[in-house]
Amino acid sequence: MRPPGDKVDTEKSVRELRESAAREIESASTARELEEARVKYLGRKGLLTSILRGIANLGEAERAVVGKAANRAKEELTSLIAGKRESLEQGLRDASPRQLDVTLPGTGDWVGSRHILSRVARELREMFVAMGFSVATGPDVEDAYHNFEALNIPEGHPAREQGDTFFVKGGLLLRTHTSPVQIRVMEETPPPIRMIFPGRVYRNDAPDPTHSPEFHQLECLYVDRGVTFQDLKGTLAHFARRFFGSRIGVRFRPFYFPFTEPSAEVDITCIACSGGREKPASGTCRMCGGTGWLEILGAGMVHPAVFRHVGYDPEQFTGYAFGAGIERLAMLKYGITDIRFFLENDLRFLEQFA
Amino acid sequence: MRIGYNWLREFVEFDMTPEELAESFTMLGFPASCVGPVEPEYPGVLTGVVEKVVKHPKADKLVLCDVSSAERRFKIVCGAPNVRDGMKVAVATVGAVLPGGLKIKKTSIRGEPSEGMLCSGAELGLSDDAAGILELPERTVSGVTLDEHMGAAETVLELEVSHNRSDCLSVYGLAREVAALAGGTVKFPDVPTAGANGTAQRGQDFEVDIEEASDCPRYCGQLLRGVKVGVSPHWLRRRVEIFGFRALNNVVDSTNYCLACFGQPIHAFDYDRMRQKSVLVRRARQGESLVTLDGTERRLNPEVLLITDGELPIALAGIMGGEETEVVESSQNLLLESAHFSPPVVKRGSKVLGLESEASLRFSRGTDPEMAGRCLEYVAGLITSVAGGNRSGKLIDRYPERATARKLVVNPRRISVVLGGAVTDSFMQQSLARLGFGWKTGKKGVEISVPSFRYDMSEEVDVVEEVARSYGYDRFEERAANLSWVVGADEEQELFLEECRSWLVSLGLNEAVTKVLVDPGKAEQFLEPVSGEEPVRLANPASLAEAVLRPSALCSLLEAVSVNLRRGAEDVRLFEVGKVFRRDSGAAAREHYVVAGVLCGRKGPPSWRGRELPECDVFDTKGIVEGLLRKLKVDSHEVLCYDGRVLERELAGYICYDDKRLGVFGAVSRRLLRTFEVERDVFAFELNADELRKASCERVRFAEPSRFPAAKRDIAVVSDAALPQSEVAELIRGLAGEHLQRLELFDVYTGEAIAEGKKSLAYSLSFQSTRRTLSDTDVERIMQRIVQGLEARGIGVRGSSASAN
Ligand SMILES: [Zn+2]
Repeated sequence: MRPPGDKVDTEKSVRELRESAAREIESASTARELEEARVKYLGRKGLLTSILRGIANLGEAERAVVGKAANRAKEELTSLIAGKRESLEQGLRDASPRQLDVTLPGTGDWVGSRHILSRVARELREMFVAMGFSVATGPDVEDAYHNFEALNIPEGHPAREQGDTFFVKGGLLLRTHTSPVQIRVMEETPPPIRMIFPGRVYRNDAPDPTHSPEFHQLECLYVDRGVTFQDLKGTLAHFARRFFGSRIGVRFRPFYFPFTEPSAEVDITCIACSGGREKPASGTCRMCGGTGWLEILGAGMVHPAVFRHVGYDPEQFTGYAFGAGIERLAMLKYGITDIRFFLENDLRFLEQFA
Repeated sequence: MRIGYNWLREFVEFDMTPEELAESFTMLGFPASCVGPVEPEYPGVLTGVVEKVVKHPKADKLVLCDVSSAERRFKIVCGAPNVRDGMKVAVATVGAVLPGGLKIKKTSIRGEPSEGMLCSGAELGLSDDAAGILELPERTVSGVTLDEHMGAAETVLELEVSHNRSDCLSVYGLAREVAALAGGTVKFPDVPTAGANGTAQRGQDFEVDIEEASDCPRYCGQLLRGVKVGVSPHWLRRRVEIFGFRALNNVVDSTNYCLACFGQPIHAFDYDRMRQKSVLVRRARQGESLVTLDGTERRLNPEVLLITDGELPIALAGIMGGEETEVVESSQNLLLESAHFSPPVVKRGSKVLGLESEASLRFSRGTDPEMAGRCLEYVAGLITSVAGGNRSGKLIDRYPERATARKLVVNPRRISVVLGGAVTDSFMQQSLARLGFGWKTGKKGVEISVPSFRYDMSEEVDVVEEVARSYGYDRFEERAANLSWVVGADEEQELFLEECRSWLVSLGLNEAVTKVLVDPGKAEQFLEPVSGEEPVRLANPASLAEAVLRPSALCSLLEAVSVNLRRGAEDVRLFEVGKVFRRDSGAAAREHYVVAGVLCGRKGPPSWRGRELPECDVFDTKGIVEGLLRKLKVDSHEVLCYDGRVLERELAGYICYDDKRLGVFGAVSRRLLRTFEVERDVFAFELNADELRKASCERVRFAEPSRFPAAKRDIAVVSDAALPQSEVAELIRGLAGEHLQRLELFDVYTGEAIAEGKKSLAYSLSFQSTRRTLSDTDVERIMQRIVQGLEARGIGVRGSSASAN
C-alpha cells in the first residue's frame, strides 16, 4: 500500500472504491451478499470508512478535496444499498408463497332474516307514511257491526252470505278485512283522516295456491273536503309504480263493492309477459292467462252510507279507500307461486328473503 | 256467464272484434274474456261452386265434378241427379265429419279419384231430402265454412256480472250496455212466426188471480194448444248450451232461451195435467207441500209464494215448478207463465227452502216488470215456430199497478266535485240518457228517473258511478292529493314492534309469521290451569285442527320447529311478533301483541376452525331477552323462578317489571316437546309486547359522561351455592355506593379449593366520580366497606385486587 500522503492517489483510490462498491452492490442477489458489500465498504472497518478516518492526517488542501469526494461516495453508496434492499425485498415478496389463505370462510354469527310479509308490510308502510299517511291497527276479533253493518253490508246482503266468515263463540267474529279499523278510527276522530290499516284477516276458504284462511291486508283511507276520484287514481298509480317499478302499466276498471261507489279494481300490466308484449313459448301466459293484466287491489270512493254510520256529513266530506292483499302483492313482486308458503315458515323459504 | 258474439249482434250494432268487445265489457265493469269460437257444427265443410260436370266413364248413374271453393279445386265423384254446372254447393272436404258421424276420406270410385263429397240436406241434418244434393242460394260466397255461411259460427265470451247488476244477466241486458257505449240503440227482436199461425179464438181457457198484488205485481199467461214436444233445431240447442243450459226439448229450450236472451224466467205448465184450469198466486199455508221438478217433496210455510191451480200448489213462484204439471214428451197443451215477483219474497222463499235456481237467482235480485209481457209474446211465438201448435185465446196480463219510474234527486255540482270537475252537466245528462235514465231540472236539483230494470240505483252516489263509468275510468287524470295535517294513531306501536324485529334479526334469528288458528288440544297446553283462562274458540271452524285462536305464539312456533326439523334442518332459530288471544272464563276475548322466539341447535354457525360448538341453552334465551330489554331501555327488571307448565320449572324464569310479568324464558317442557313430536331440546322466550312497550323508556334523558378517570378493582367472593347471584350483586351494589359505575360478573366457579356447598363468584368493579378524581385511598375505603359488608352477611372474600385491565 502506498503511503497516505499521496494526494492524487488518495483521490483516485476513492473513485475506484466507489466504482467497485457500486458494482458489488448491483450484483448482490441476496440480502446477505448486499450486507457483505455494505460491511466491506461502509462497515466500521470498511474500506471507505478507513479513508474517511485517515483524512485528518492529510494536508489542509488535500483534506478538503479528498473529504468532499469520500463523503459524496458514502452518500451515493448508502442510497444505492437502500435502493437495492428495497428491490430485493420486493422480489422476495413476489416470489414467496402466501402464508395466509384468505379464501377460508370468515368466522361470525348466525345471519337472521326478516319474513317477506313483514318486509313487504314495512315497505308499504314506509311508502304511505312518506305520502303523509298515518297507521292504525285494530282488533282481530271483531263485532258484526264494525265488520259488516257500518260498511253498508246489512244482514242478508250477498257479500255477507258467502259463508266465509269465522265466528267466535260468544257472538263475535274474526274480521274478514281490515275495514272495521277504518270505522273505529272514524268513530273516534273527526276528518281529515289519511291512514293505512295493515293487519291479519280471516276467511273460511279452502286452502289452495291462492287462498289461505289467514292472510294479511293493507287498507287505506283518505277523508277530507274535496277528495276526488282523481286523487284516488293518482295515489294508487303512484303506489303501483313505486312498488312494482316505474315501467308498470296501471288501469282502473269499474267494479262493485258495497262500501265504495264509484268502485274500481286496479290492474297492473302482467309482470311475466310485460302486459302481453312478450309472448311466452308455451303460447298463453300462465300468470295472467293471456289477458296481459293482473288484478292487484280493490278501491273506490267511500259510500255515503259508511259516512252516515260514523257520523260524518257526506255533504261536506268525500273520501277514497282501497285494500290490497299483502301476500298477493308479494307473490306478484317476488314470483312466489303458492300462498301457503307464507305461514309455513320453512327455513328454506325464510332465508331466501334475508 | 257465457254469451255469443254474433248472438249479441242480433240485439245491438257495434263495430268491435270479439277481443275488443271483451275489453270494452271489462272496462264497463264486467270483467270479460274471449273464450274462443264454438266447436264447428260442420267441421271441414265449405261452400263451393260446381265448375264442370262430366259423365263417369264406367258408371251410368255417376258424374265427375270439378268443384271450386275459393282458390281450392276438388275432383269429386257424385251420384245426385240434380248436380249441374254453376251450382252453389256444400263441399265436405277430406277430413270433414258430418253430423251423422260420417268421416270423409279420399277414395276412388270405379277407378275415378274422389277428393270429398257434395252434401245432401239429409247428410247435413238440415232437411229430409236425401235424394239430391243441397243447393245453396245463388248469392252464397264460395270458400267460407258452412258454419259461417249459415251463421252458426260463433265466438263465446265469458263475463262476470256483479250481483247488484241483475239487469245484465242476459244478452239483451248486456246489449243495452253496449248500446250506451257505442251510442246506438238496443233492439228487441221480432217475434218469430211459423207461417200461417192463426190464433184459434176459443175464448177464455183459464183464469188468473193474485191474492196479494205486492207479492206478484205482474202475471202474464198464454195458452198454447197442439204443441209437439221434440228435439230443438240446432241453432237453439247451441245457444242455450253456450249460455250454460243442457238442451232438453223444444219447449224447455225455448223458455231457457228466453231467460238467456232477456233475463225473464218463463215457466211452462202442462195444461192438461192441471186439475183446475186456473191460476191463483198466493202464499203457502202451514203444512202444505209440493213435489218439485227435481223430485223432492218440499214442506211449505207462509213465507213461500205459490202458483196454485186455485186449490193445490203447482209451482213455487219464481223458484221451481211442480213435478205434477211438468212438460213431458206427451204434453200437447201448455200454459206459459211470464211474471214479475217481488224480489224479497222470492229471496226469502228460496232461503227458507234452501233451493236456488236460475229463475230464483234473477227474481230475487229483481227482474224488469216491463219485460214480462213482451217476453211472453216472444216465447209463445218461438215455441209455436219450433214445436208447432197455436196460441189459444188472448194473452192474459194481470198488471194492476204499472210500475212508476223511481226518482232520485241529485246535485250535479256535487257529482262534478267528486269526479274532480272532469264531467259537465250536459255530459251527465247525455250519458244517463243513453243508459235509459230520465233527467229533469227542478228546484232542489235534478230529478233522475230510474229505468224499471235498474235495481241498484238508490241514491246520488249510484248516479256518480254511472257517470264515471260512462266517462271511462281510464280517462280520469291522476292527481296528487292535497296535503292536510292528520292525526297519528298507532305509528309508535308499529315502530316499537319494528325495533323488536330488527334487534332479533341482528341476533341471527329468522323471522316467522305463523298461523293464529291452531289445534285446541295443543293450545290448551299453553294455558295455566290456575289462571282460569280459556282459549278463544271458533263457532264454525274449517277443521278441528284450526278451531281456536292461539293463546301463545310458541304454540305455532313449536309447530314450525317441528316441521323444519322433520325436513332436515339442524339449527332452528325463529322469532315472531304477532298477536295472541285469551279470554277469562265467560268474559270477552282479549288480544295483545307478543315477541316470541325459539332456539334449537348450536350456539353459532359451524366453522372450519373445528371447535365443536356447544348447543344452545337457557342462558341464550335469557341473553336475547336481556339484550332486548336493554335495547328497549326497560331500565330495571326482575327474574323470578318459573312455576308454570309450558317450560321446564328448573330451567326457566319469569321476567318481571313493576310487579307485572312481562314474559318467560327457558327450556320448553318435555311434555310439550312430545306433543309437537320434537326430539331435541328447544329453548324459548315470549314477552308481552304491549306491556313491554309500556315499560320501555319513552325518552332517554342524557347524562353527561364523567371527565375524571375510572378506577378498577376485582373481587372474588365465596357464597352458599344456593344463594342467587343476583342477591350478591345487589349487596355489592348497595355497599359500593354512588361511585360504582359498572359491576360485571366474570367467573362462577365450584370445585377444587372451594368448600362443598359453596361457590366462588368473581366480579370486576369500576368506580368513577362525576366531580373529582378518586384517589387510591378513596377506592380502598369503598372496597373495605364492601368486604366488611359481605363478610357480615356470611359471604367470604377470597381476594380483591386492582383490576388487571
Ligand atoms: Zn302475462
